[in-house]
Amino acid sequence: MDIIIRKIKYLQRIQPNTSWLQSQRSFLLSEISRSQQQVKERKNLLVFPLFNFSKIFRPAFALAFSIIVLASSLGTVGIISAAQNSLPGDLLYPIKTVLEKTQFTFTADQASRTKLSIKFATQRIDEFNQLIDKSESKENIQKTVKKFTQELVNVQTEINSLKQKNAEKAAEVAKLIQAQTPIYEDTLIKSTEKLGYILPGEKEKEDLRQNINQALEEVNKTREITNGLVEPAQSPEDIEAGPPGSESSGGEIIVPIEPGVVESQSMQFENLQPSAEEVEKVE
Amino acid sequence: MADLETINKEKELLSRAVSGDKEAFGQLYDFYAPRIFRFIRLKVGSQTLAEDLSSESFLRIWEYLCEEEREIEESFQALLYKIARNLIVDYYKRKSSQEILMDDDFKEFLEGQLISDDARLNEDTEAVHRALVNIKEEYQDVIIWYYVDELSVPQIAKIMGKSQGAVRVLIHRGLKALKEHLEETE
Repeated sequence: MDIIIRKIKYLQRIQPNTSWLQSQRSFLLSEISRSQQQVKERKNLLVFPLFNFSKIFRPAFALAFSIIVLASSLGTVGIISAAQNSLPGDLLYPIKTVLEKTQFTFTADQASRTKLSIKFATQRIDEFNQLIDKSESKENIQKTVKKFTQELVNVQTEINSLKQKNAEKAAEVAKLIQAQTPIYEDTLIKSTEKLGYILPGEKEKEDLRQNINQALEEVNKTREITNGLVEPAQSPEDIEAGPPGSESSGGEIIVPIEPGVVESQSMQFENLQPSAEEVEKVE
Repeated sequence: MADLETINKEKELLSRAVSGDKEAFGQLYDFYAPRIFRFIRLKVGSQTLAEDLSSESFLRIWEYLCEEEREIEESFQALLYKIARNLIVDYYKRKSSQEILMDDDFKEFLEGQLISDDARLNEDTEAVHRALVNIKEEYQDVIIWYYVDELSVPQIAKIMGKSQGAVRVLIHRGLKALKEHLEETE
């Protein structure tokens, strides 16, 4: 190990170019002076609450107008199909949620209702995954993870109702859920890595981290419920080893998630308890 | 670096910087810029990018310090490393892995920058860097902070928001992972 540590220390020789360091220092200090000047000017300025005409020329208005024109030129089918691929914050997203609610309301069969709730939970986690990659506003990401948690609670309620009515069918659907939970967990854990470190005062980010942890708790609860439903003859390893949604019965209802999500290693649940040997070596 | 004198000096500079003293901020820059550059340079492939992200880190921390009603309880060092780390995370989110690989000019940087007569030393440095970028992100961070920047375990724990025990485990595991990668390439 000593040789490796010595080799790592070689990296200490890496230094920035001195002329770059100097030029950056001057640049940085001039930027600071400029920003201080701007703050002073702003404080001295008297602002009158006049109507701002420029608001109506903002890009958001232009975008909304274009979408209305575009939507009117498309058929209803086109809009619905576009809504299916929309993300929270998009104009068509409310259509997607209304469609989902309608579909759920008109589904009477308990097994189908449970499968639908799994489908919606998977959709929410997929949306969450896309939003976090796009560095979208934290508000939308937070809303989505909360909705995901809510969908998971629905899954739990629905599967419990199904268990009362038809235990055999409940076990079958539980297998579908078991195939999804590792994906949910990996996506959530990976997202905390993407979030980076939280600086003091970054409340939005901190709240988001808490919501992700809550979602992880619900994933665990869902897993516990489904483990109790599936026949003990089949080990959880057998189920998790299979590709997500690969079960034949009703498998078509599960929305596939982006490949690569499953790759991440567990950070949250990683065993970070130091062994005596580990502590001793570092010290 | 973790001695009391340095900590007190940093606190004084930080409070002056927060109240708008740009020269105090300049002194903090002088002390931390080489370290932040090195931390970023070891984690990203390109020299230009490392320089850009280093500058951005300082601009961001200035903006952060100037935000109203901000109470700074954390050390400048911890804040700066967190900001730099978040900028790297954001960069990787935007770029595809293909683009990141194409950017790699660490070998050229070593040849141009270090001007070492000892070819073996440069080879070893390159090998250890290659192994470093192939281990888990968290392991990379703790290895750089502990062995290269020589931060203490409590200082690293502060940056990462983890317990000291957890940091010790990460250092141990990181070193083990690095050793395995080095042996693979040798």
